[in-house]
Amino acid sequence: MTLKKMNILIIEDDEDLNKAYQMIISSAGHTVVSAFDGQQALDILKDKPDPDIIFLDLRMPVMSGIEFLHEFKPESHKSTIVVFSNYDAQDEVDKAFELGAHRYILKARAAPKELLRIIDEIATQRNT
Amino acid sequence: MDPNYLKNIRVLVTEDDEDDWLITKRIFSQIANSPFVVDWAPTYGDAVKAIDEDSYDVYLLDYRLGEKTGTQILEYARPESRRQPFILMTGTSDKTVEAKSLKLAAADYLVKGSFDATLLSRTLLYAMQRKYLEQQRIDQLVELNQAKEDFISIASHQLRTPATGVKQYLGMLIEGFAGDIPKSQLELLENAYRNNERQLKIINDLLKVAQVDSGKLRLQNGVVNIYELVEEVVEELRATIKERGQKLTLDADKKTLSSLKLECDVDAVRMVIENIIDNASKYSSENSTISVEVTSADNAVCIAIRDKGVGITEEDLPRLFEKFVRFDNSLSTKVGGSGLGLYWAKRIIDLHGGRIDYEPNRSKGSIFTITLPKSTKTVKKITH
Repeated sequence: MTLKKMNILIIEDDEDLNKAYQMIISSAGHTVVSAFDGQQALDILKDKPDPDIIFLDLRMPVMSGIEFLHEFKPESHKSTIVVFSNYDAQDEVDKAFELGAHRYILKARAAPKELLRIIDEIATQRNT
Repeated sequence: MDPNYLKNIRVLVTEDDEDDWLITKRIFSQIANSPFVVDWAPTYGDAVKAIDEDSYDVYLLDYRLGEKTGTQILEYARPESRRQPFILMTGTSDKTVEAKSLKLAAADYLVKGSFDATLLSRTLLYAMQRKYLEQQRIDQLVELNQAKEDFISIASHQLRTPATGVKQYLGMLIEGFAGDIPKSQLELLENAYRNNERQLKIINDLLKVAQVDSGKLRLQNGVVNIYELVEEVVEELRATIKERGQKLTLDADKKTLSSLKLECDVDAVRMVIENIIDNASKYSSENSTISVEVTSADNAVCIAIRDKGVGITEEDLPRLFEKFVRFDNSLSTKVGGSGLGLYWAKRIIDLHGGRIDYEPNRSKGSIFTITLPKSTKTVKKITH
């Protein structure tokens, strides 16, 4: 079965990481838009609401991932939200889940293959 | 001493004999320009209540308090951990009481009838001054320690982002995102990738330890079948250990363990088990076997990890679980690492109310045993 290609929003403040995620994800044929902080992401979402997946970094300047979730209110949207997490950020991840995030991926483990595997998993879930 | 201290100094005199209290009160009234405001606590209970409420700047304790004694108040208050000085008084000079008072960290010792207003005032003020200076030193140390922890945390966070970037781009190259790579080049990239993984692991170890040291770590409540957890870890590590030319075995009384659920922070406990098995393998030579055994005792589950590796010398043993400690042995340079893994592991297992023990393996090598309590009643309060 060919999985549907996903519309994906990446919110990550580190330019190089943001670019790497874009390259990895677009290489698999998905459509990617990227933002460098929560505020930029909200602006993008005004024009292009409800991407299939949002990859969300938590610690960002201007508007953090947590602040973004407060504003965005995931429960009123269809997007699957994947939080980028670190070993020492469990509290923030808990908070993100309370605010409606769906899954998390440890940044240290987010190798290209792993990232694409998660997208495929979500695509399968969304298809069924 | 802070000059602001020199007025309205609240003194609590604990004295069960009203006549003696009146004498002490009179001596206080003879202090010229007295900075002291003096109250009376006639019983042990009154004194303890005032100490709990932290209402006074200095405590003067009579030794005899009906059925109780002033030294019992010292035992209760633990002056070494407080900002206020405690001074003991006795009716007659008594070497035994004086020794006990000294041991229990009283700031001074007075014998009734042998002090006048001047000596009393001086004793109190100097005792307060000593406490004040001690507290200043403690505050400085706490600040310094905080600065050190902040530095480690900030530096590690700053190091982590670029190291993660390197991981992504190397990963992309290796996985062919920029086209096929000749085998000879791929090998070099894989070496770079492995070293970057090591670097990230050290950075993450530093951050994990900073988190546990700052008291900010909150264990996640989870429930797991401990045998299945160990089995998962063993299966995950088997390939790596095989690559090192070693064997990994798992032994357990499945019958007893299959129904045993353990409340713990599953991810943290998993990382501890991973860490100890991985250490056992890293510090063992090729063709060596690492054996893991899970057993159930009355109130606890034990996970024993045995290797026939380099072991720990008796000399090194006392520092085994200390931070940043790495022992010199034939494999230590090759293995690398931050010297934080075992320290962190011990802290995590401690927080679960368990322990990690070490004993030398009979023939050669080490046995590490992780003991976790079955009941969470013994789990220490986790939120700091």
